[in-house]
Order: sequence, then structure tokens, then C-alpha cells
Amino acid sequence: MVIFRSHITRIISLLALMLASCALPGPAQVLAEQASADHTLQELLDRTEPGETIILPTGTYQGPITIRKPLTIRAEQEGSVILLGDGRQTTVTIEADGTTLSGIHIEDEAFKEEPAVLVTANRVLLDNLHIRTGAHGIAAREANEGTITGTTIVWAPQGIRMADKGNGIDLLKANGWRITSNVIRDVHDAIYLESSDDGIITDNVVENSRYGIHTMFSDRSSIERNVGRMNVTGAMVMTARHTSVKDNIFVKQSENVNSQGILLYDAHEIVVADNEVEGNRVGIYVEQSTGNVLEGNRVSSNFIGLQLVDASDNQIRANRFVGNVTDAQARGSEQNTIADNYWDSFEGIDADGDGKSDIAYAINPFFASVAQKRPAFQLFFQSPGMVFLESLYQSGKESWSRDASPLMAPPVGGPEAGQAEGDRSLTGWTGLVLLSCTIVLILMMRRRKA
Amino acid sequence: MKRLFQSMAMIMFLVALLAACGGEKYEPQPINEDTDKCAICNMAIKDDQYATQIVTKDGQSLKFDDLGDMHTWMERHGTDSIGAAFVRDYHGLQWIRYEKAYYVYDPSFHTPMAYGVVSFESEEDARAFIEQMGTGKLMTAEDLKQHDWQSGHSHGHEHGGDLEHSHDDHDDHGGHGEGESAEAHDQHAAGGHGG
Repeated sequence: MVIFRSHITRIISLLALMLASCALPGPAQVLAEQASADHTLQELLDRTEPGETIILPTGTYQGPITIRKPLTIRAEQEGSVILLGDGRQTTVTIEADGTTLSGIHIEDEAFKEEPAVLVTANRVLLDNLHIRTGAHGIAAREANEGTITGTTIVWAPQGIRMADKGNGIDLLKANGWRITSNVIRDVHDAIYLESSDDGIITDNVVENSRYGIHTMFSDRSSIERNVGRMNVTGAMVMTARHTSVKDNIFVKQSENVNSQGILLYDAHEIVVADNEVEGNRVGIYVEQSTGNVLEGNRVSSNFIGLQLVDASDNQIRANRFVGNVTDAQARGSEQNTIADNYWDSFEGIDADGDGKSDIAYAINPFFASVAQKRPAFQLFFQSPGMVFLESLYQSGKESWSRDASPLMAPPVGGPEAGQAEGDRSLTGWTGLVLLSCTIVLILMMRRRKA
Repeated sequence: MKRLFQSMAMIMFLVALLAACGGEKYEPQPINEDTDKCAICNMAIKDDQYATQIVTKDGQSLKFDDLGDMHTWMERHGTDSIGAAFVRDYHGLQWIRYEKAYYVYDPSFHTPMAYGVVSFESEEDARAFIEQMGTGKLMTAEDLKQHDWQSGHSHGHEHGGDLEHSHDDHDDHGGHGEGESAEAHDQHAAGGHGG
């Protein structure tokens, strides 16, 4: 009988619990409000069961915190929850696999070594964060398959030299990360991957930093649809294989003497396609790299469009080089397949009418070699005397890097081609209208005089 | 008056001659973080303990962000044109002659190009560093010539291209004999344990 009664009480209490859980806003929310009242955020995290969701009410919280069990932490209202660093330690340390952190402002503005957010666990989701940092914004160490999305990272302290700043996102031995749709500004390298394979880096905006996207010793990365502005270099791919760099826009990387749009160094089997590279010192720079494909890129208004240094077995085709001071420079790069590119500065002859020049575009290595031997001679870049000397230097022309079939007109099908055509006809029509107006006016004046 | 002029000219000539003789000394240039880039890997050079420098016989300064890259330069261009090579003391940052420095290597040391070799002016400091880090191999410039220069990524995780890649490197450098590369593998394994 006693046993029976205890069974009933147990069932009733269970029912009551279920009812309560339906009626109340949910246990997570309750916990969060307690936290804001009189407990620290860390105490709240410690009391929460693994797998639970904590919704933080609007307010300012004091860090640092360490997440040691898988939790989902969200802001009640996005952007209204501020988590402050203590000026010495990492503000958020994530040690539990499968943690989600979303919609929180992290203000860790002291200039220091310890990153604002440190991830040492797998499958962590960082979503819609806003980080002001004085060190690396988000660092991942031996942590795999994380995601960073919709997040803004901005360097906070004033008057720090570029070389001393931290990186926006810094991955070390962290594979399979997905970094999408973030905005990163004023840091050292906006997105840096070292010894981290299979990274997916798409749709980010990286500005005013040293290198926009920098990968070292990292294979199979996808760097696609990102926009880089005013960095020293847009994308720097070093000691890497099987990476794709596609549909990115890297512009105005010209503030620094060593700036370039895209740089490949010791990079192999990389596809660099359909990028827009504009207004840099060097558009695309390729050194000590083999087996890469450079295709369909629009390289315009750079000092040097394409620079090849000791690069071989690369395929460079159907790119458009327009309005660069020099379209290409090459040194020690004889064994590449260069074909069907449009070189704005090249005057070709197309006798058979196939749209390709019958004479090859050969890249004179004279200036590149002189500048290598005597860097100070870069001062004479495109100076009349140097251009004259270059035209005299014709030795070994057979072995120069050359485009055997340069296009007579920019390749059709690019997004700008149609637009430019439209612009031109509009200009024509406007001219016609203006001309007719002028004629009418002149005729009227004459008639009046008469 | 004429005599005075002559002796002045003589003095000036002698001074010029002396200055020309003194020109044999090679001075390292300071690092300019805004404009200096590594002569090998093209990366911007930080004015820190990992920066190295070669001053050529004709006075050109070539800077590197990592000792490993300076070594790559020496392999590609030979050492004939080098006037002097410099590395920096890990703590004090003063430039020291490459030949006179003490080196500590461990693949776990984080250097810009991940070659994992750091430099010290005194042997004591180098030994203290090994003690502090709990790992590391003490080397001299002479030892570095036998060193199997590995950029860090091959120590981390295994990926398909790696083995093939390091072979490429060996081919480029050309000078690795059979026995040497076997020794290099042993070193590699030992290093892996340390890290």
C-alpha cells in the first residue's frame, strides 16, 4: 500500500512538473534572470545542465567566463547583452564540444596577448557576435569543425602599430572551420589559418588590415566571394595545396609598398578564378608555385597586373588585364601555359580574324631582373629611359614568358562587358542629342542675324 | 699657400683611403615594419627576435622573417656574395653574427615560418631557454648546416601532399645525400616526441 501510494505521488509530481514546464517560460530563462540579479555569469554556467539553453536578459555582464559543458548561450535581444573583459585574461574560453554562443557583444579592449574568445573544443558555433578586441578576436587551437558567422570583429585600442596587433580570426591546427559572412576591420591579419585544413572562408568583408585572408601550411581551403579593401594584401596563400580562390573582390590594396591583391607563394594546385583585383600595387603575384590555374580574373588599374617569379607549370588563361601601368612582369618563369588573355597594353595583329592576335605577347624580363639585383632601381619603374632600355633588351626572347594567343578584345561574358556596351551606346545617343541641339542653336542664331 | 693646399689634399686623400678600407665592415640595418618584406616568402617582417639579415658584399641588405628563410636563400644563391649574416638575440633583440650565435630548435617553437629555430647571443641564455621550455636542442651555426630544415606544417597533422612536398624541397636543394636524409628522419621523429 505504501509502495502504491509512493508510486501515485511520483506520477502526480511528474505530471505537475510537465504542466509547470509548459506554463512557465522555461527553466533556462528563469536561471538567466537569477544570474542578472545576484550571481556571476560563471556561477550560472556552472549550475546549468549540459545541453541547456541560457537566454541572457539585456544588460552588461562581467567576464571572463569559461564554458566547460555544451551549452547554448543567446542574448534575449540581439546586441543588448554586453560581456566585458577584465583587461588581462581571455573573456570567453570555450572548452566544451558543441557550444553555441550567439548575439552577444564582447568588449575586450585591453592590448594584450590573450585572445578575446578562445576555442579549444570541436563543433562550436559562434554566431552574430560583435567583438571589440585588443588581441586576436577569435582564436581556435586544435579545435575542429567550428563555425563563425555573422560576426563583426574590430580592433579597439588606438595607436598600436600594425605589426603588434592581433588577428581577427586566428586558427592553429583547427580543421574544417566554416567562416562565413563576417566583417573584420583594423586588425593584423583579418582571417589567418595556420596548419588548418578544409577551411571554408566565404562572403566575408575584410578591411584595413595587414593581410585580408592569410593561409599558411593549410590545404583544401575555399576562399570565395569575399571582399577585401585597403589591406596590405587581399589574399595571401602560402605553402598550400588544393585551394580555391574564386569570385573574390580585392581592391585598393595600394597603401603599402608591398601590397598585392592575391599572392601565391609555394602554392600548388590552386584555382584562382573570376576574382576582381583592382587598384593594387601588384594584382596577382605568383612565386615558387606550380600547377595552379589562373582563369577569368579581372585585373585592372594595378601598377603591375601579373607578376611571376620562379613559377612554373601554371595555366594562365582568359584573364582580363586592363589599365595596369604594366600588365605583366616575369622572371625565371618560362614553363607556364599562358593563353587567351586580354592584355590592354598589347597591340596585336589578327590577320585570320579569329579574335586572337597572330603575334605573341612576350613579357620582357629586363626590368624585373634589374629590380631584383638592385631594388632601388624600382624608382625607374616605367621611366622613359627604362622603357627604352627594355625595348633594346631582346636576348633570349624565345624563352620569355609569353601569351601565344592574346585576345584582341576583352573576353565576352564577364559581368562588366554588357554594362560597358550599354554605357557606350548611351554615350553615343547623348552625344547625338547634344550635337543636334547645337546645330539647331547655330541655325537659329544665323537666321536671327539675317 | 699652395703648400697648405697640397697637404690638405693629401690629408683628404688619406682619409678617403682609410674610409674605403674601413668599408669592409658590414652593418645590419634596422627593420622597418612598414616596408621590409622577407626576401624569400614576401611576408612583412616584424621587428622581433625572429628577424634575420644578410648584408651582401656590395652592401645590399636582405631581410628575412625567419631563420629558415635565410637558410633557403643561402641554399638558392650560395654564400659567396654574403658579406655578413646576422640573427638576433631572443631576449635583447641586438643583432649578432650568424656564426657566433647559439641556436635552439624544437618543432613546437612558434616562429613566423614555423621552422622552430631561435637564436641567442650567449650559450647560457640558450640553455636557460631549453630548461624553461622543457624541450629544445642546442645548436651552433656549424650544426645548422646539417640541420634538416622543416617548416612546421609537416609536424602537425598528416596530409596527403606533405610527403611529396618535402621531397620536392629536397630535390630543389639538391645537396642531401642518402645517409643524411635518413638521419634527418630520425631527428624528425625525436622532434615529434619533444613537441
